Amino acid sequence: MNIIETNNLTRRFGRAEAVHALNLAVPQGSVCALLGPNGAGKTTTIKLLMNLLRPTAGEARVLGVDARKLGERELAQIGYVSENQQLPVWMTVRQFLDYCRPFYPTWDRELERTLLTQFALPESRKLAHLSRGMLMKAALLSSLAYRPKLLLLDEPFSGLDPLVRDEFIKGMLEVTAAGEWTVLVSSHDIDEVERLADRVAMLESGRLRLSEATETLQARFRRVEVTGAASTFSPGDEWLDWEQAGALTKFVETRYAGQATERAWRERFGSDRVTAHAMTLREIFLTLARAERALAKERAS
Amino acid sequence: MNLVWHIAKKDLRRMALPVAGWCAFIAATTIGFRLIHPPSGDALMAEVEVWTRLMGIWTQLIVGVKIVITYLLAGALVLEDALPGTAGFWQTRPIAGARLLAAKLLASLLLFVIAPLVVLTPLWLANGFSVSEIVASAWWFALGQCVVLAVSFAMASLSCNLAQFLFATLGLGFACVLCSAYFTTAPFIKEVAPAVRRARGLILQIGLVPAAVAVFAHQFLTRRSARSWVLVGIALAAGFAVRLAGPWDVTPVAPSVPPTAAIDVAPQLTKPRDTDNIHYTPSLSAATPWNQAGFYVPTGAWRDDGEPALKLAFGWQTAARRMLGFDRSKEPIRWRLNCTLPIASFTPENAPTWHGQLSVWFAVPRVLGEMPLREGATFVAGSTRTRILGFAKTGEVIDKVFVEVCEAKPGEGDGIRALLRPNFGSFEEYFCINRARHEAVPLGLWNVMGGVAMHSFLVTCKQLTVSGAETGRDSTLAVVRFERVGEFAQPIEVHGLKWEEPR
Repeated sequence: MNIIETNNLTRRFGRAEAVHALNLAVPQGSVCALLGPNGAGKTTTIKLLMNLLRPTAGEARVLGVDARKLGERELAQIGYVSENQQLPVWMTVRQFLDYCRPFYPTWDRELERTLLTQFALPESRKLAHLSRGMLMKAALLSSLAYRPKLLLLDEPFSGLDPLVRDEFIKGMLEVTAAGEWTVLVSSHDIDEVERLADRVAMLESGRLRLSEATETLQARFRRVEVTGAASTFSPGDEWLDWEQAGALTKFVETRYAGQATERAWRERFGSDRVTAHAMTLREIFLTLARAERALAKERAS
Repeated sequence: MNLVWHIAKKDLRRMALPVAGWCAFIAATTIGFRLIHPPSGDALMAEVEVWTRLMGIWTQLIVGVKIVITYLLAGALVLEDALPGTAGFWQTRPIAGARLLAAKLLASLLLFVIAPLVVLTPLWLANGFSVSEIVASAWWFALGQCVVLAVSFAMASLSCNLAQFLFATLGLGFACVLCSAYFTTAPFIKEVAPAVRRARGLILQIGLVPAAVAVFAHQFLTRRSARSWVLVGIALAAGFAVRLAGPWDVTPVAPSVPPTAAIDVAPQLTKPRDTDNIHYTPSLSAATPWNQAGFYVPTGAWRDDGEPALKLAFGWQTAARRMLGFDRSKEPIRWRLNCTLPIASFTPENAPTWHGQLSVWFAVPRVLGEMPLREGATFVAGSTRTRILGFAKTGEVIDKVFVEVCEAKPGEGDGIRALLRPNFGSFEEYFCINRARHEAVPLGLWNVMGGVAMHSFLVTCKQLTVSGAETGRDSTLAVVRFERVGEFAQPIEVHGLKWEEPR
């Protein structure tokens, strides 16, 4: 069952199209990373899912309900943390949690206490006097303590220093590991997300480039180096970032399927030496982004 | 309801300090207003006039500041959970727009109506306000606050932050002033009767509240700012349509059935030779000797200055003298109304007949009190405190008496009262009494040197003229108040009276 489903979801701001015909599905229980460069449409997508923005066309269903009709019942099962959210910073951490609690019938006082300790949040301090990292933690706590079915995190790591970011992610990992919740986290910080996500969706200029499990994505991408005298061949359709310098040819194989692919390479490259390296999410993301830009340039010319 | 109260409680905590300061401001300015008295002494008309003028400016400033602060604080209350934009905390929490609206209304009622009333009520009680006066004062105060709150809620619900709120307020206000100025002076605008002009103003000001409520309710329930701005536009367009074309005359008219069937009005038109005034002399049968009656022609026949063209001229003295015990007659009182040329002109017989409507009200005189006729003498009757400031004399004979009257006028000074004020509430008449000589000399109200009002307190300085009274040891100043007890209206035909178009 999909907790989030979008069907040709489109949002325009004047003439600019922030999200274009997005078809995204996030299965229940998954941690999905929404990746993309700045301006890719990640935040807009999450705002559309939260009914903070209304779609220009298409629809989004969250927890089985049209996002435009999200009511108190559904919102009580959704946690939302965003770097841009305006929290009531005049409250102390304690007052903030006391304020949030009555809205959620499923609020877990025990979990609240655990998270308070885990995040080391000073209860008597005003939110305005917290560091950015602490503030994000407070927001996260207030969005986790009721064990939401769905957690939407919009750029939760931006502006956090590495140490705090690490603590934040560690906290997130511990919490999500213990729960049954579904998480959609948007970020352009791929390295951080890689530790969290078991599913990845990539957006580029408002368009969904790919959406699949992290494991299968990383399994089908390989950075390939071919060294040898015979390495004069034209690139295959499924290869990206193809470059040739002397006897060395490099490319990214996008449909790597283990022995079958390696057998095909041997047939193609003959006696040349072929080495294939696994790729990180960041490398995959950068490869796809470069390919997209090259394609866009080509289309434009 | 629990969640509504939970949200409201959060707002109460947030706004507690500024609202406490605001309530302290209201209390301090009201106490200050009651403590500052006009100068006293002889021949002080000019000084009192200056005092009245300065106090008028001061009170207007205070009332203006009060309105502005209410407006800003109410806006801040709404902006605590801003409606437009996508960064609001509440928008991602299980809080429905209707629930948030209910919470904001509850918080604003407690902060901006109940809290200041809690501050003002002891002051009203300490100044002798009766329960009905306190209730009426609270009602007018709440009504004035609600108008400000409605407009503030509407503008704040369309703003993301305080800067935008202020900017939108200033922009809209400036646009309204500009448009209004244009529509007032535009060559295609036709002059209309004062009553219609007044009615248009009344509709505009009263219509402001439902328009503002429609805007903020829509915005709270849908958060669709563009459509809410369209509503603002429609409201403005409707406002200008009313301003330009509203044909309505909405001045309240008295009930058409007389209080008792036996009462009959028999009007008679006369024009004395020695005056330009036309006297319209109705006689009222079956009225008790104690009853005062007033007549006025409502609405269409008001003058440019906002006064009824026909108004009570004589008759009250007889009623007051009877109440003071100086006239034992039981005969019905004859009243006379007059109107000033050239609003109406006296025409020969068989000239056009004027058809109009005559409203009649009844007033009962009540002696408020008597005090020695000397400077500084004071008497208190309920919430009315009258003090003699001084005299202008020729020898021992008094020419003028200056008095300061502080009284309860519910709603006076809160701005809104003027919109809905009935045509007549009450008025006072003054007599120099000398019981040894069995004299009751009426004092003419030659000049009211302005009144200043704040939070239902009205301070008026009056210059009363008198002839033939002496400041002897036995002389007293008596005040008789006429209070409306009933009214009715009936159509009348007046032969020989031609009503002229307003200038």
